[in-house]
Order: sequence, then structure tokens, then C-alpha cells
Amino acid sequence: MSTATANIPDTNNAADRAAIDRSCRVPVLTFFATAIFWLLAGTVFALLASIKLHHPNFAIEIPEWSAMVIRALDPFIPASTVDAINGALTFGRVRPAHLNTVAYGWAATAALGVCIWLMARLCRVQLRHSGFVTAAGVIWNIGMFVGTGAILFGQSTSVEWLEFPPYASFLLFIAYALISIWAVDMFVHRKPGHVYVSQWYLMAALFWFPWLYGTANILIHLQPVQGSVQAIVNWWYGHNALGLWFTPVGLAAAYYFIPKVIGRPVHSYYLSAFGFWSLALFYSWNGGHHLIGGPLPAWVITASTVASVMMIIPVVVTAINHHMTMKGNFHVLEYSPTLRFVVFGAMAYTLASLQGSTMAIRSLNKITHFTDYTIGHSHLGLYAFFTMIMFGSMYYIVPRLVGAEWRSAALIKIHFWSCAYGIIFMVLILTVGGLIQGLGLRDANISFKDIVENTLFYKVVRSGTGFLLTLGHVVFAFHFLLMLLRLGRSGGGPTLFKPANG
Amino acid sequence: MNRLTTLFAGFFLTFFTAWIGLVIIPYVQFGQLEPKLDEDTGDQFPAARTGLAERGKQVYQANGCLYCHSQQIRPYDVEDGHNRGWGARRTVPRDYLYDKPHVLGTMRTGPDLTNVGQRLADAAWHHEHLYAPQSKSAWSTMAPYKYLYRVQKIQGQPSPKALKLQGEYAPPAGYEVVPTPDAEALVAYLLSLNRNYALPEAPLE
Amino acid sequence: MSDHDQPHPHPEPQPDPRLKGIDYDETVNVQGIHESILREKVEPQEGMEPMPLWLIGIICAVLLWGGYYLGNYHGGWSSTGFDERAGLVAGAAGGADAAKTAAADENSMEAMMKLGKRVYTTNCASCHTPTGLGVAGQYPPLAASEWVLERPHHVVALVLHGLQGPVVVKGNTYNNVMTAWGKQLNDRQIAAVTTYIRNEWGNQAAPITPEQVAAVRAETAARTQPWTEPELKTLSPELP
Repeated sequence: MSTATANIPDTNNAADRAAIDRSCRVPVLTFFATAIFWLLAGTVFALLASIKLHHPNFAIEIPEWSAMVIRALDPFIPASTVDAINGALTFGRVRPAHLNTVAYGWAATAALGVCIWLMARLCRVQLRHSGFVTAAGVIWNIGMFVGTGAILFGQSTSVEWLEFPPYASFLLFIAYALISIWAVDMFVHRKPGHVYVSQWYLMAALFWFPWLYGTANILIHLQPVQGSVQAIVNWWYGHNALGLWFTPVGLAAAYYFIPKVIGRPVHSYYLSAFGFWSLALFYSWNGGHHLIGGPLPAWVITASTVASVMMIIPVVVTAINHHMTMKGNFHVLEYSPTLRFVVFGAMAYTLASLQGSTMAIRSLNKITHFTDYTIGHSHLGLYAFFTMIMFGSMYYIVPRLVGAEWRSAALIKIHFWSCAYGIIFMVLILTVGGLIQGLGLRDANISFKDIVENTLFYKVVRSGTGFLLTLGHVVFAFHFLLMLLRLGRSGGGPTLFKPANG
Repeated sequence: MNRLTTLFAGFFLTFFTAWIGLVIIPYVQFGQLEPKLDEDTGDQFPAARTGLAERGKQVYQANGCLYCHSQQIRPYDVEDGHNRGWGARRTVPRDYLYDKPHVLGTMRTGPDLTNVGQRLADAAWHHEHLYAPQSKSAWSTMAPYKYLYRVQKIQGQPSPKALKLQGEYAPPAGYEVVPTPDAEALVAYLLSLNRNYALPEAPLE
Repeated sequence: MSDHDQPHPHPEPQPDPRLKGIDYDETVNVQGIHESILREKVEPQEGMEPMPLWLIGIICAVLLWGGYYLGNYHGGWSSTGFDERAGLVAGAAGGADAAKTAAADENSMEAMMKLGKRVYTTNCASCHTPTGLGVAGQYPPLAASEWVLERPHHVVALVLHGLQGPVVVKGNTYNNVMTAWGKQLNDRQIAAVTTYIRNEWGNQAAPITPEQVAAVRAETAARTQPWTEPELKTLSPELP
């Protein structure tokens, strides 16, 4: 199956690829543009939430002059609007607004965009029913607006990862289901030939997520089951949203872009297949590790702990596969933005997953549960792994959709370095702060006051790292806007970190 | 693995087994629990919440209290030396019978609230704490919930519900701070939080 | 290597000036394919390297660990099996715990103080404070309190049924309401917490037994309202 050198431009199929990319333009750019909008919104919520954790009186109410103006406009605008807006600013609403806008607004939307483009490329046919796909994107975003508004104005369900009330999550479900159906249609109409590993991951994710989202919403919101069963359904869903939706899309992208950019085949089909099926088998049992020590029978927790440790298998297998593919080609990281973001992400995936396996062991979990350590872990996964891979994917895909190169290598550099340093320091600071918090909680001689005061420093530094990430996002959004407005560079080779030789 | 049917069968089977294991079997095994009835007193554990307390739980949810406060006692929380007075025993599924949705929480930025209704049984304390947490604990990083309260001019006699605030937290002279119905409901909910009763499957330590 | 470091092996096709104005589909340029698509390499392929043996070794080791853990920590697979150590064959962890509670004298002073401290922290400390000093004007102190040290019968009775109205403690008057704990705490817990307050913060007095608490409970069974101080004084200060 491996070809002789794949390391030269493939002009023979360029026309086909161009036609595919042209057909993807409107749907994929819709998803990408809205994803970046939600990234910015989610970043604002993140900053607010982070600052409020060490300065609880920050931005708790609108300025008095604006409150007076609103009250003066009563009865055209009810005076209670002041309370409604002040309520929207409280940490307990800003925090879930952050989670949902970055998870469903940024990450899932970007994932869908990348997924659509990859499916079209891997099926080797033009995107079919593009109006259908774009409509799904519109419905998805309407759901996002409705849901985020619901959270901010007091209608959050307060179930983590499922805060959108049913009237909003229903829209997300419909939109997603449309994409799933579209994907099956594309697959059925694909050009015959080998089904590449990325496609197994994408098809699986598109099949699993509606089942996950539907079950969770039904058993928790629509036909609520008793509390403890809700808890396990909640975290079966929450963890699988990460493991069976985001992870497969991230891995699919890594498996596509790494070999694509360096022009070498993936190291081993056997590792790809084994990695995929072991992930499918083990990942879905992990959910209970969010509830260790919680009100559940021991067997549920044990099953999840075992599955979490079993995840070492697919993670190590995939890491070897990627590493052996990259071997001898690491110098390309000096040049290619796509490769740098994607490889950063792939390495973070290995790290985050192995860390997760250790956190599921009861004796370590005693200390880390309920602390910022968990928050560090989740950002290592969803940001350092998934978001960075999405950035890398977009850097590759967007020029092919708009027909222009990225305008400025400097902007890409700022984006990469502020996000890389930002997330590395954020994870480090949360990990250390989390351990201090956890060890303090375990010692009844340390008062709660002492724990709060000892961990304040770490929360302040975390806000600082948040500003670094914000810089990266703003720069990226600006750069993307230039591309959308047809202000990209019209030729002259790819935009790289370093000028190419010759 | 080139055929949709093969792939689909694999996706389905791997997911299905975990769905059975983590969703269906838990529902069957501990999803239809009944409260414990004390034959002598007729008391029910857990007790069903009053209407006001149930409404208060919705206020709790709407304002995201669970993002800082957990509501579960782990066995390690009760083992010697680690108890902060948060609970006399670990919590079990029956304790959350009426929690739809559950508010177990995953962070302890603030203390655990499983038994806060027993530990802090004073409604006035809760109102003052919600309005201005730093007035009760100067080091607290909890957000103030001023929008759940109304600052109003004292008409004749001060309202019996007025919060007793001092210093920088007190309203200007001639004004008082009274709870809105949402605040009263929330405090009723907090006062109802008490799982320090024994159950056959969960004796008190 | 990557996109860049060789000159493009194919030169840009130069439009033939004689064809100016004529649109021929064959010319690649006319299709308007952007450079980025032209310079792409082939779609990714998979190599066929076998799985290394040492990796298979790691996989087996992880699977073995999983089987061992699942087999040992299932807690009986039942819906009320909350302790994962319950199924342990060696009984090292679970056994030690059971041995600890069984072997230790349940009613030893040490055990009662430990239980009493837990009960106190959970239920009493929020008003009477962890240092037993109370809150001036609101909640009476327990440290060096004549009620605690000299009137155990009254203390047990008021823990069972609550207290209201003005009371004088260490020369100061307090007028508040104390909850009745008789329904929420059993005899052993009340014996433990009253023993604790009588022997903490510099206090020293005889412990109180669960039997004594049971006797007071029976004696005062008819009471439905919290005590007032005058009513309490009708009981002897010492336990019968």
C-alpha cells in the first residue's frame, strides 16, 4: 500500500482536488467563520471567569449610570433588566457560558468544518448537497445563540456539558444529525479504493455523537432518571464527547496532515487499525472516572478506572505511529505552520491521555478530584491537543478554499507562540495549584481559609496565561478575516515560519 | 475495512456494550430506588423537598452554584482526620433520589454543601453571606449575589426580612436590603440540605 | 521534504500568446487552480510496518493489570456495594478496617472523644465555634462553662430537646434558640459529643455513657417544646 516517494507535488490530481475544494468553500467557511466567532466569545467568557475567581467583585454589575438609564426607561424597558444583566455577569453563569461556547461553539464547529472537508477529500468526490450542509451550520449556530443566551439569563440546566435547555440542544442535535446523514451519503458515493484511517475516525465520531447527545438529553432533561443514574449518564456523555467526538476528529486530522505535509506514508496500517479499535472499545467506558468516591456502586467506578488505564494502549500505539511517521522529518516543523500546530497537538494528546490514565487511579484521585488539577487536565486535552490541531488544520484548508495564501508569517508566529506558551504555562500553573489545593483539602488541620489564600497566586497567574491565549486568538481571527475579505496573498508559495531555501 | 457495513458493525458493537454497561445497567440496578421509611416516626429519608426548597434548587441551578460547590461526601472525606464537618458518612444513590437534575458538582473552590442545612442552620446567616460573602469570611472568593436582593427605602418600620449588614456592606442610611423571592427560595433549599441520617446501606460513622 | 525546499518540478505553463483570447479547457491555468492545491503532495497513504514485539508486551501487561483490578475491586457488583475493598481476598485493606472497628473498644474514652469531635464539628461548631468560645451575645461558650462541667443532666436534656429563652452562662445572658438534636442524633452520638465538650478546651469531667443518655431520653420523652432555663432547673443537675 505504500507508494514510492510521495514527496513530490501531485499535479495529476490537482484538478480533482481543486474541484473538491471549490465545492467545499461555502459550507466549510461557514463553519470556520462561526467557529472563530465563538472562539472569541468563549475567550471573553474565559477571561471574565478566570478573573472573577481571584477578584470576586470584578464586573459583578453594570455601572450605576447605565443602571439608572435603564431604570429611567421603565416601563418601555422593565427595570428588572438591570438585575437580569447583572445576573448574566455572575461567575456561575459566565463559567458555563465559557464551557459551552468553547466546546460546542468553537471546538465542535471547527471540528465539523474540518470533518466536512476531510470527508470530501478522502471520498475523493465533490461535496454533495452543499446547501444541506450549510443549512446545518446555520441551525447549529442558531442553537448556539439560543443556548448561550439561555445560560446567561438564568435558564441553564446546570448539568455540566449539557447546560443548554432542550429547546436549544434540540437544534444542535438536528444540525449534527444532518451532517451525519450527509457523511453516510458521501461515503456511499465515494470513489472506490482503500478507506484511509482518518475516515474510520470521522465516520465513527459522526455515528457515536448523536447517540450520546440524544441519550444524555433524554435521560437527564426530557425523561429525568434518578439523581445518581443521571450522574453516570452525565459523565458517560461528558467524557465521550471528548473521547468519541473530539478525539477522533483530532486524530483524523493528525493522521491526514502529518503524512500529507511531509510527503511520507503513515508508518503502519496495523498500528492505525489497532489504535482505532482499541480506542473504540475502551474509551466509552471511561465516564465514571469523573465520579470516583461519588454516590455510585464500586463496580461502576472500577470499570471506569480499568478502562481509563486501558487507554494507555491506543494512546501509545497512536503515538508510536505518529512518531515513526515523523522520524527523519522533524526539521519540517521549522517551516510549516500546519505541521507545527498539528504535531504540538498530537504530542499534547499523548500527554493528556497518559495523565488522564493516572488520574483515574483512586489513590491519586483522592488528591486531584475537585481541584484545579482537573481543570489543567481538561485544558491540556481540549486546548493543547484539540484546539491546536484545529488551528493547524485551518492553516492548511483555508488557503485552498479562498484561493489565496495567508498574508503574514509574522501573524502566524505570534499566534503559535502566544498560544503555545499560554497553554503550557496555564496547564503547569493549574497542575501545581491544583495539587496544593488537593493536598490542603485532604488535611483537616488546614483551614479552608488557608487553602483559598494559598491557591490565590496560581489563579492570578492563570489569568495572565489567559491573556496570552487571547492575543493568539485575536491575531488569528484578524488574519482569518483578511482571508475571508480576499486580502490574502495571491501567490508566491506557502506562508511559512522561515523562508524556503531557493 | 472498506465496507460501510463492517465499519458500522464495529462502531455499533463497541459503543453498544459501554452504553449497556454505563447507562442501562445502572438504570436497572439503582435507578428505581425508594426512600427509607422510619416505622416509628413515619419520617422519610431522604425527605421530599418543600415547594419553596424545590424552587430554590432551580435558583441554585440557574446561578451555577455547583461550579464551585460539590454536594457529595466521598469515603475519604470521612476517614479519620479528613472530615471538615462536611458529613457524618459518605453519600449514596438514595440521597439523590429527588435530585432531578443532580447537582453533585465537580469542584471544591468552595466547601461541600451536602449537609450545609445542618451545619449552618440560620437563614439570616445565609442571606447575609449570599449578599456579601466577604462580610462573613473576609478571605472568601465567592461572588456576591446582590442581584438576588433589593435595596429599598425603609417605609415606616424596617422590614422583618431586612438583612443585618454592617460597615461597608450596609446600605446607605434610610435604606434596607431585603431578599427577593428567589433569594428566599434559595436559602430554603440550602437549609433543606441535610443527609446526615443513617440508611441501611450507609450507616453513620 | 515539505512544500518548499525544492523548486517546483513543473514550471508554470506560459500562456501561448497566439492563443490570447481563446479559452481552451486543457490549459491547467485556465481552470484557476490555486497554487496551494497544485503544490500538494498525494493524499496520505498507509505503510505496512508490523507492530513491534515490545509494544505487544506492554499491551499484555496493561491488560493483565486491568483484569486484576477489575477482579479485585468490584465491591460485590451489587447496587449497594460501595466499598471497592469489600471483595478483596487478602482482606488487607478491608480487613484492617473491620479489625480496627471491632477490636477497638467502641465505648473507650478515645473512641468517644473521636466520635464526639466529629459530631461536634458537624453539628455544633457552626454556632458554638470550633474553639468552644461561642459568639458574644449570641451563642454561649462551652469552654469553662458551669453548665457543661456541673450540670450534665441539663446538658443532655437540652441537647435532646433544644433550648430557648434567656439563659445565664458564665455571668452573661443569652437569648436565642437552640435546635433539638434528639431525632437526628442517637444515644451514642449524644453521649460522645457531651463527653467531648466536657473534656476539650481545658474542660475535664466524667464522660457520659449512651445508657445515661437513653435514660434521660426516656425520662423526658413527653417533651415536645424546647426547654427554658426555669424548666430545666426542675431536673437535678447531676445525672441520675
